Amino acid sequence: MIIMEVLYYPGCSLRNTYPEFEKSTYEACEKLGIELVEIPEWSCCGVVPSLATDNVMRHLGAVRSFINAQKKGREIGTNVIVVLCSMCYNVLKRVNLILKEEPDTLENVNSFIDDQPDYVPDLRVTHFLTFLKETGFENLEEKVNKPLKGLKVAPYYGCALLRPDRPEGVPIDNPDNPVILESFVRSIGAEPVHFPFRAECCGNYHIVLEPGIVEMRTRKIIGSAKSVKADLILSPCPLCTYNLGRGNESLDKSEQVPVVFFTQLLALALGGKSYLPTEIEDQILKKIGGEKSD
Amino acid sequence: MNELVERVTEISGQNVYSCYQCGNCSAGCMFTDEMDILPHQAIALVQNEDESILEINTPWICASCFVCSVRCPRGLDVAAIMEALREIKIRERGFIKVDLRKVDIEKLPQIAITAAAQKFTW
Ligand code: SF4
Ligand code: SF4
Repeated sequence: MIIMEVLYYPGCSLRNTYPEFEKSTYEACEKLGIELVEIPEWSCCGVVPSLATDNVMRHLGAVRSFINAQKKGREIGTNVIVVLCSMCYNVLKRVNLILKEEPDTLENVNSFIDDQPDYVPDLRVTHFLTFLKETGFENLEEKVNKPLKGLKVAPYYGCALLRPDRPEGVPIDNPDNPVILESFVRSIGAEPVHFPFRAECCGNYHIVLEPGIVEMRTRKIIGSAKSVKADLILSPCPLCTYNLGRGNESLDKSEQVPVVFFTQLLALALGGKSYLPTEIEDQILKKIGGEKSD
Repeated sequence: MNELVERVTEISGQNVYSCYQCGNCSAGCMFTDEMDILPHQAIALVQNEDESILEINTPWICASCFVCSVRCPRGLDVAAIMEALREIKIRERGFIKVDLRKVDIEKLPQIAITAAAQKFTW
């Protein structure tokens, strides 16, 4: 049953590094009656927003995707783009807001992209979590047929969902006290555990030149989740997930905490395929099964 | 206006003189252990028109996490100032921070390499 069609921007990481993030999302959307309509010929967003205000070149990937999204959106009657990857979300959201606020920048990019119709900035970029929240976490709760009861989940926000707070509208929640991931975790029946490092930076692009910095950062984040007895760390970001994985590799087995995408737990709770590694899925099932029997 | 200040202003769109050196940005920054000087000290050097800022590692250790930008009571986008300081170097002819041909691209995910290329190359 399809109740809603939305535009969907996948991004490179979901295609070449973490297909489980995308596959579990499709699985969950099918159960929820959401049809993700992929933007035709989308371009790489550029991963990190350019902060150089005198150079719009780095925004062009995002704008090309918007132009294609606009065409498709008019066909299916929506202006909402759903994004999964935190980094893509941050870039697309920022660029779109900048184009709405700065007519000169809009004119500049439109005249640069002269092989396409102009972008009229009427699209709305939404993170999948915001989309779920707006359709109602209560509704989600009703559709959960395998509540992840007893599972202690450490929701890790990282940076890109919460910062920067300008242009206004980028953060998906209060940057200093976010609750959206915790609400999501509750709606799938699991228990969110609070850990102080939930919105700390994983080290971002330093994994390329200074992997030591990333390992130091992520060991702290993992240690913080471990100290509150988290079974899992929930991640919304492919780069955070990779970096946390490198942190885990540098720790003893007993100190590691597995990292999963939020959509994998969602798919599992909805009774679908989670695309989790068998070992982790078995651990989860054991944990929630154990709770049920007593 | 001094050339350094002018370029930082032009690239970042921020007025460095509105910084009153409270140190909030540095207090929130998670990467200060690795930095030659703290973020607010880097801004002070720019205010003082001190070109030595272009040779210190602080802007290069910055991970663009935006904690400073969210917390600055003067509303300065400190991360954008760090980016401007990197950009001034990156735009210099012959300056190479990273040779991506030498990076192990087989091992790293594309998202990391693209992000590093955006921040460290022209
Ligand atoms: S937080 Fe803002 S005002 Fe305070 S030192 Fe940093 S840049 Fe300057
Ligand atoms: S954006 Fe850079 S300077 Fe600011 S807090 Fe993050 S790492 Fe530190």
